Amino acid sequence: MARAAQSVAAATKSKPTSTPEPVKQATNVMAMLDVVGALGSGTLGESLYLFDNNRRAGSTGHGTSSLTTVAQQGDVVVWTTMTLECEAFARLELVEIDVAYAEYVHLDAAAFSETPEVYWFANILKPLPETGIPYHLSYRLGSAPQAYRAPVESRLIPASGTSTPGEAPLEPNQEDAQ
Amino acid sequence: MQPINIIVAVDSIAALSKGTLEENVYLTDDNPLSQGKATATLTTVCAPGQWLHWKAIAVDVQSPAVIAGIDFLPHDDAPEESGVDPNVWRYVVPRWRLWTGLIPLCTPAGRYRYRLALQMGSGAQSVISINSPSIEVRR
Amino acid sequence: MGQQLGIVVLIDIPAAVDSNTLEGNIWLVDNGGWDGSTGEGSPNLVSALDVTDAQMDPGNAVLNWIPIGIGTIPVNVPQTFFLNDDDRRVLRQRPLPALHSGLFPVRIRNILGDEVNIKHPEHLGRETPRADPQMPLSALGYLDPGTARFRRTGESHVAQPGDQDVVYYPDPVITRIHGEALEAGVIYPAQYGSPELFSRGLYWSASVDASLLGLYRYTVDIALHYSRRNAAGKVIDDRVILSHDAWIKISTGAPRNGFSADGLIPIPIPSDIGAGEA
Repeated sequence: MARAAQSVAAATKSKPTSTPEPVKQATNVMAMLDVVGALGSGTLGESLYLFDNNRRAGSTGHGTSSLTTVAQQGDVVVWTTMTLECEAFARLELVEIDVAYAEYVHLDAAAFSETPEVYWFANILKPLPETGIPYHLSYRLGSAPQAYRAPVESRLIPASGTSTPGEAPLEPNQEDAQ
Repeated sequence: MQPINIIVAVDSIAALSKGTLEENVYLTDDNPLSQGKATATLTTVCAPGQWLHWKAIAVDVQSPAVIAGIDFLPHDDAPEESGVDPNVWRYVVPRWRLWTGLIPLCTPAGRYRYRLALQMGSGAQSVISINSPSIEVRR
Repeated sequence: MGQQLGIVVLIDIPAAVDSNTLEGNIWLVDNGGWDGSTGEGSPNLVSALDVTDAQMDPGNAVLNWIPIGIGTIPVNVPQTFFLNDDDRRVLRQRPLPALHSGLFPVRIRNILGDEVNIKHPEHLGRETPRADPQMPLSALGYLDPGTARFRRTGESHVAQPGDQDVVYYPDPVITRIHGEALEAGVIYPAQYGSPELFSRGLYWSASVDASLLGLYRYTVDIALHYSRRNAAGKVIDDRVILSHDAWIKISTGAPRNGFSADGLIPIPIPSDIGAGEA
């Protein structure tokens, strides 16, 4: 929590930039956590369900533990958390992005004003590389002393060059039917 | 003779987080003579021929808690302990919330400890047991 | 009185409103995966209920539906977030434990073991929260000219160029649950009020008749609210009601003697006394 606490302090006390840049689009990556399932099995493997609201642009993997989110320069991706058992506690502890991608994103954490609800966000600084940026999510669950890390990575990818209406991203039946 | 109802209230999330039922399970019953109510060291006073009903309740209504097993210990002096039981396979499937037992008429008086195993969910670490509760048979 | 089944319905609201269908824009997750629910995280959820215990323990099984829009304010955000200025000023007063430090502990730990200082709680702000362009989900604004939007009060607000109000779709509201499961008398759903501000403070809950075994389908009608500029440029509130099917499966096992796999004696007794019947 130390890193997030510092970021909370930074976000509420002073803004990193003096003039806020207009954000083109805010994409929410929402994680649904089955806290009992994760604690009972000792892993996040099958207890993490990821969703985003950018399916129209081509995001895939909704409802699985590995999500591929489309993000473009100027966007901000916001990671939020929800628990399946509504009274259970979960906190996003870390969005782990390799330092090799530092030039592409500005990553930070904050909390909703006056609440302990933590969210992480990434401003996309330049067009993402072809293969995208992989990341791993880690959560604190219940009162377990150690964080649980998603075993499978998720990804931020650039928009594909061709997105004609008949293309795959908007076909609902083939995609998430499993 | 009245049956005795034993309620096993468990904080499933805390138990799964810490891997132990110690301080996360609260047993109580409706016999005024019983000792240690609302703790993990409940001693239920009962008589031969009496029915006992164990019922598991999760403190968080959206979390699961069922009784996977009740096994009486062969000796009364085993150290009190609680932990995750990795042998999930040895428990009867499906698991239930409500268990019922009858004290045999010939049971000698005395205190009998039992190991209570609770299953919370279906993962490999979801069965946690504790061996401190007991029944005390009085003739 | 077993575990209440919570079924979370997640919807990508802008996509659903644009395409006028929930297909491809809805996913369901429930907390019965450990007991046999299938289709978690997909549009086709079969919620499983094992009612073996119901004969001996007749507390009804309960289903709860929680509709969530992806991109809305997280439901864990407490109500203090939505306070108006007067109430916020009241909150800023020194809390009781700090005023009576001899009676209350002033250092406590939260669930993770982090220390929280009650005298100077970090999470209580000193001034009204500012519009923060990094927080689009807070309804406190980022620059997005042109599109109609909600403020967090739920009422629409005409957008002006340079307006800081955010594009915000409130959480969806379930308007009706119907279908085969109801007609067969398996589930008895009703809408209840909750102290939460999300989904207009309403949620649906149903009790289950555990004596009816089988696989039953039910249909959920969901209202998605939004604001839109009409041809005259005027902002109007609108909603679209879309439907989605899900299933509930009720099964039972046979009651068995769980006390010991072999033999009838649950309590060890000396061998010179005759064995009793369990």
